[in-house]
Amino acid sequence: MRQFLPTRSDEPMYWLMFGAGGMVASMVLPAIMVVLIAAGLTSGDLQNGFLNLGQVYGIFSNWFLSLCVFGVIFLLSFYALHRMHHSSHDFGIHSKLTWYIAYGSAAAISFISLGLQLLMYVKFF
Amino acid sequence: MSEVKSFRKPYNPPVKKMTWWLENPFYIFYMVREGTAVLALFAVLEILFGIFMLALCELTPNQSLTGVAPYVWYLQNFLGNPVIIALNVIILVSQLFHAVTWFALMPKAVRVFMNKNSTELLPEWVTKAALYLGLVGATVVILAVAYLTK
Repeated sequence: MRQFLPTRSDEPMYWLMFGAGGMVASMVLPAIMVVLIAAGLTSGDLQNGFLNLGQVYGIFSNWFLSLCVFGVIFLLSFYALHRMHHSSHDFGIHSKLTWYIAYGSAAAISFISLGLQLLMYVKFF
Repeated sequence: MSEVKSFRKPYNPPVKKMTWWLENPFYIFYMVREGTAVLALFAVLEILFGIFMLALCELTPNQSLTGVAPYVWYLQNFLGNPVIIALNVIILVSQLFHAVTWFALMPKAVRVFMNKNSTELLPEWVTKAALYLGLVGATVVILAVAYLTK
């Protein structure tokens, strides 16, 4: 007798994060890149430049802003690696290894970011 | 990965050379569009590196300049490096290109009906205009906050 397993794919979860991350990449990332470029150009001035110490302390000692930064990193890493995972088919790679590499790295990036942000939050108080 | 046994038998055409996509402008456009994801990943790693360098610092209110040396190095020698600034400009342009392609496909992926009683769809330009407004709004808010709190 044939056993019927639940026939559900887990692809929608990754596709959801890909869609959300694509939205973040198109709406929020350009502004973040402008801030990073401005921070590089004004890095000589440690008191009043973009992303000076006071400003980044303000971002990471605020739980809401810190969570926003985590959300950007989490969604963007899953978006970018999902897209690269599927692009690997265009180069003749059909191994399941790319699945583990892509989503494993995305999860690692997200957990490292969350861990470091929690560490900073603990260090502030 | 789901544990379900797949009965799919996809046909995978052989890839004879890695530069097949350079022969047709449409494929070049496709590959450049997919390639913006690599640059987005680089931006993520850049931000993560900054968070790592900040986490190495002493985060007490009266910090000495030696206590915050890792973040100052990140700011001046990494973000201030001309190569990284040039790369950031390339990432910025690539993400704007990604935004254009992403917004162009969105009305095709998300079908919004005019009302319950008809199958008439909302015009594509309405969805696109809303998305471009979102991009402009988010950019203005983030840049204004970054400028006013610096």
